[in-house]
Amino acid sequence: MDYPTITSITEMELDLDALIARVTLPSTGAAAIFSGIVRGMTERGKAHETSFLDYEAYQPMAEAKMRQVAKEIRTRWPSVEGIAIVQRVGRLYPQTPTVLIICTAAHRDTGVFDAARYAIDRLKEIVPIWKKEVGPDGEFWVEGEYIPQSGE
Amino acid sequence: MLKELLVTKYPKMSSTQKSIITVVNSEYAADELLIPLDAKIAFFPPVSGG
Repeated sequence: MDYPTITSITEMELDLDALIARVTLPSTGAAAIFSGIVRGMTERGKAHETSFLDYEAYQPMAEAKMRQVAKEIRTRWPSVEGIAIVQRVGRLYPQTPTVLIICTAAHRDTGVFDAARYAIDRLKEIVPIWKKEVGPDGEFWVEGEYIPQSGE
Repeated sequence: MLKELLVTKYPKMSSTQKSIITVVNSEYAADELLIPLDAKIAFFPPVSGG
């Protein structure tokens, strides 16, 4: 019953195959995967181009909050087996994966899709990571909308 | 209180005061939290990782 939980912040290239292997158990039959990618051309809202994103994290709080997200997932979806949440930081260019989320389970109908969705949504709420967007029209820090409450 | 002090000292921050997040010893803190001795305090804007 010792399920793997991997949470980390890295400057290295994200390796999907290696990460899947680390959250796959003999009993695993499904892995729901989400990856965020640097979008070079944005259509939604004000259309614009992006040259690169500069990511920064407040460590070690960021890693602690990632572990908290994993804990919340285990409470909500007890059938989830492995959980991986890995955020890449530094300067990242369009079409580059920035974050990898993997939730594994015995079967696909156990909530793994919802769990992976929850992980990325929650990461964007409570994990102290920021990105500065740089494009041909200038640069700005992207700001989330969520204000975490005490105890979160 | 500390947040108010910050805004008094740096008036430019008052327009964004509502979105200043306070962290005490790596935990999100309410404005009325009594800050423990030797606490490590951080202020930051809403997060935007992913």
